[in-house]
Amino acid sequence: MNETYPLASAPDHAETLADELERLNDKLDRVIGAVALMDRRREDLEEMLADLLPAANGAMQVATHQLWDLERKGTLDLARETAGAIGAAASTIDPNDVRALGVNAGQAVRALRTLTGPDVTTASQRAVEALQHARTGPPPSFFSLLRRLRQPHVRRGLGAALEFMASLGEGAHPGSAPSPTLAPPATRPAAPPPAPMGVVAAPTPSSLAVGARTVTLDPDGFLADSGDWTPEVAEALASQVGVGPLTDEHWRVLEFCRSDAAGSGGAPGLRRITKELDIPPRDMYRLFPKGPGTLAARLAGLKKPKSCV
Amino acid sequence: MNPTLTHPLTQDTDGPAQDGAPQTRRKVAIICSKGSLDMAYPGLILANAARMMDIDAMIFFTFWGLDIIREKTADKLQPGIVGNPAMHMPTMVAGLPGMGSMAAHMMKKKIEQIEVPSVRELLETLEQAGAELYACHMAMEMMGFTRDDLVPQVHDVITAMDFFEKSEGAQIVFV
Repeated sequence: MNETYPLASAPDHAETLADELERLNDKLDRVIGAVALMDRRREDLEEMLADLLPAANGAMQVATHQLWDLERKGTLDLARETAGAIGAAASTIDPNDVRALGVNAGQAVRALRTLTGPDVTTASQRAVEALQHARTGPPPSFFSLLRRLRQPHVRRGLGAALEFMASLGEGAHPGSAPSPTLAPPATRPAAPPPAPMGVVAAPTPSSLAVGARTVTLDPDGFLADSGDWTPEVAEALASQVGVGPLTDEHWRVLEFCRSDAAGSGGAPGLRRITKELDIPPRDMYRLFPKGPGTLAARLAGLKKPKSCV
Repeated sequence: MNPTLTHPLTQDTDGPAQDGAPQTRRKVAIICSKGSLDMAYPGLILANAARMMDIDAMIFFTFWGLDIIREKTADKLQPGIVGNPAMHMPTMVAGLPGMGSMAAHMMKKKIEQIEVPSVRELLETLEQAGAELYACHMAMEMMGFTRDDLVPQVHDVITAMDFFEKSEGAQIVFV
């Protein structure tokens, strides 16, 4: 072409023109290549549709031709893009798009349109490349997999995959438990929720008969309702916990507990009782042998003391 | 020093026999191995709380933990402030002379405010509550202490093997 160009007197200009022509030629080649590729892809797509939806084949053919137009436009755009655009395109798939895709599985045509968009075709092509690479290369070690988890695009991809799985699950059985076909083969019965620390599984609130009436106790043996307390209740509780008949010494402690709780709102701890009443701890252990820390409060119809001493 | 001391509860209890109660009593054995104020309290408070719940409790004081039951040091324990990140004090400042005493003073004031007993009072309460306090024989020899250096609440000086005999069936807590 160079030789036939008439502007031989302007060799610089001619050279520039020649370069540009060459570049144009290259671009055309690439476009032709891309079109050929798209053609093949269209054939593949048609084949797939024929396999998947034999009943709706005719309708799908029409749809496919429309899609082909879209795809070609998108792909021609793509042909002009540099490799950097591919990465940008991949990053535009956000989890919401993928979720929408899964949920709207019923709207097959719309979904297919999305599928044939340049973003998705590029992404799928990359997926195929990655698969091929995975088949040929050595399997990655456990630690290299862990390392790769730190890469943002790996995480983004995994997130998208999980969203897709989740929306597949929702689509399969909207709103509730997984469908039987998708359920894992060995389903374990759901474990009961773990009991909070320190709460012994067991005693349902029991009750205590006091004369003609019955009072309700909480699982720890304290009165469920402090208002139920009467001296008779205290006697009944005392014999229940092995304190025996209440003496004046006992009553002094119980009365102090009740008046102190009325003032402060909570049952006094053991140390407070011993200090305020000037009773040596030894005596408290004698009066309430099976745990003076809680028994005084329990017999006084109060809640468990919060004090540690 | 009373090696034959039996649990006061088993003698004094005048209530009815263990009707329907579990056959084996719950028991806890606490090893106090550190002599700072902040390491003394957990062991003593836990043992006391166990007794308040009618759980048998024993404490074995060993190595620096002997300071808790030494007459000379029981009232002068200091919190470990150097290299203690929870003190929120630069190590260089914490290492200055007098800082330990100052921190101890402040901590004891705070402890009084919230009505926590002193170490001495806790030892006395523990004895009355029937908790058993033991000193480590080997650590005593190592540091050159005798039985007379210890507070009267200590029941006995025992070996590590004795400790395991006495703590059979107990839950063991190391502080």
